[in-house]
Amino acid sequence: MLEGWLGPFVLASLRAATPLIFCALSVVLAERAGVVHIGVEGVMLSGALAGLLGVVYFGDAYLGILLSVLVGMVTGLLLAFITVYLPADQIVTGIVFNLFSLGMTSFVFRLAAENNAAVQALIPGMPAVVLGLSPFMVMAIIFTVFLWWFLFRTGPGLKIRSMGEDAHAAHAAGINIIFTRMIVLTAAAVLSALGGAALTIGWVRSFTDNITLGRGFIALAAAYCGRWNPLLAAVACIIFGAGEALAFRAQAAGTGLNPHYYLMIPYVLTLLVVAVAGKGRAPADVGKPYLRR
Amino acid sequence: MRKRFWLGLALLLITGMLFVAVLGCGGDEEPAGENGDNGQAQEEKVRVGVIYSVADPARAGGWDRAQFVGHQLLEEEYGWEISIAEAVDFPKLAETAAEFAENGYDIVVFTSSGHTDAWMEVAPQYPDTWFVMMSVADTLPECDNAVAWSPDMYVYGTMVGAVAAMASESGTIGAIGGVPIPALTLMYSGIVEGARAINPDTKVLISWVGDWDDVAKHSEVTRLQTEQGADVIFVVTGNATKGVYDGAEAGGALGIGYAADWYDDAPNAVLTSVIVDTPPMYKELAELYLAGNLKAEIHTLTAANFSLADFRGKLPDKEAEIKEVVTQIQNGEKEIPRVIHDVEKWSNQ
Repeated sequence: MLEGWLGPFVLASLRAATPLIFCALSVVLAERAGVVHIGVEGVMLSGALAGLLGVVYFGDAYLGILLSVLVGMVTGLLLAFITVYLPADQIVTGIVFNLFSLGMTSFVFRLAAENNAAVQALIPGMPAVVLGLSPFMVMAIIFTVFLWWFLFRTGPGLKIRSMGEDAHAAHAAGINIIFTRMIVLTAAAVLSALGGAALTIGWVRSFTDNITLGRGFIALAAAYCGRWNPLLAAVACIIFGAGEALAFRAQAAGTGLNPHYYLMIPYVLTLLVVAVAGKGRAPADVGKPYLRR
Repeated sequence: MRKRFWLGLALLLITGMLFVAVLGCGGDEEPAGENGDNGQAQEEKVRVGVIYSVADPARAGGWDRAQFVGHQLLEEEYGWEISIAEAVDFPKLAETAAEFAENGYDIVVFTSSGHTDAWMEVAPQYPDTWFVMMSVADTLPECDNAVAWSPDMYVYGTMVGAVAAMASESGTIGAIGGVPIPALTLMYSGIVEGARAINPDTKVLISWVGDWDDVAKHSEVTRLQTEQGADVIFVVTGNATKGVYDGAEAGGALGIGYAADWYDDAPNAVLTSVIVDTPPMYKELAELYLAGNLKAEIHTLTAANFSLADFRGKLPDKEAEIKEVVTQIQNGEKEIPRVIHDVEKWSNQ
């Protein structure tokens, strides 16, 4: 039974973790700059649909990813305009945007599926690039390391972090808060959209209404568990992915227990990680609208 | 001041987009109502309200797809007016059914056994409306205006099990379900017995995903079953069905579609589908209603109401043999014992 189980288990964990990692990175980036990114779920959903439609209509997975990135940029700019430029309340805007995205993606998907049967069918998969890892998994690893290096080892990263801690002090030091936060939130939204594309193009090769099913919110929890550090947030995502993979394997092992006990594993594991991680300190200015004095 | 202007403009744009979207929806529906009929003819039409708990039933799970195909017949063959209430949450089922009845609909159709409570509650309150259950039912509401077309899920399962066992090279088949509900206990017990009637050594893996909609989880459970050796996999779930075909294709297995023909969704993975022939159910409903012979009873759908979809070139050497066994099950030549298993805790046996 256990023979040869490790490889598939690791791959299953990484498959489940990959979309979460992109989204957790987007939350870390946005919140390090002082903007709460509740809209991660909605952007992920939009990116998931855009990616699939891109593959169907342009006939290439990488063009699907490109369309997903474009949708991420547009939604990111929209969110940034509302929450940073105006600025409206970040949490309320994020929640409203998530609801809007749920309705809009379902509507667009239905229109597309009625007009083109290929939208309803499974799209071609992306072959593994190295050691059975899909291009999205490799990208997730690269982005995680890059974001950690960028935030904690470069000057622009320091500026972004300083905005998240005290925007007015950062402004006094010469940083254009509104412009920089808009750019950062747009980049964060691109990462969220890539998380959606990782789900539809890189994993299940299809789209259904609300396909993300709260994965954006799990990514928010992962950013919290990871203390707003990209490396730790990615680890939290992998732990959750491993929990999911373990739940189904425990059920398959056939101990005769009710399956609901096994299906609880990822959530119990997440609760344990949150408990063990203790109280993390968020960047001090997160969620506070920046108004020039 | 400038920001208020921008805020106002943004709100205006969003409202405009929503308005256009709503108009877009309305534009699609209008021609369907016209169809060249005059107003008087429309008044005489039998009006049917169909209730789904899923969105977009024509493209949702197998049972909903099959129902959608069925009630299209009422529209196309009888010219009846069909109104669909979709994505109705369970707490709102009774209210929705009552609303149809109060608005003068002649027939209200429930499309899921999960609607049973609402069916029981509303039917006695509106004696002038027929309330039809097009899913598993073992008792009727206490009134004369309720009727059901109830499939024998065990028999359906035996056909799936037999097809899967004959198609399998490895001798291991997989069955995946969203949540263990009573209808699936019957069906999956049927799968076990149907498979063993073909090959007593067939190993049947049964997994529960824990929900009906998570495509990714369904894909992972399927991949796991292929890792355990399953090469033919069947699923009953909601929107997440395609996740199973994704997993099956990734693991080199074939899938058997539930209730409707799933070939177009996953041409590489779907071997065939065991179809529930819903148009005859709706035709019988229409004929009985028009003749005034509709009465409170449960019509049971047996093997004759289930059929195989085209194999489309897959397993050409086994196709004829599989179809022959299915015919034997349909006409009663092949008897399969009725044994109910504890499939909720089954895993792999």
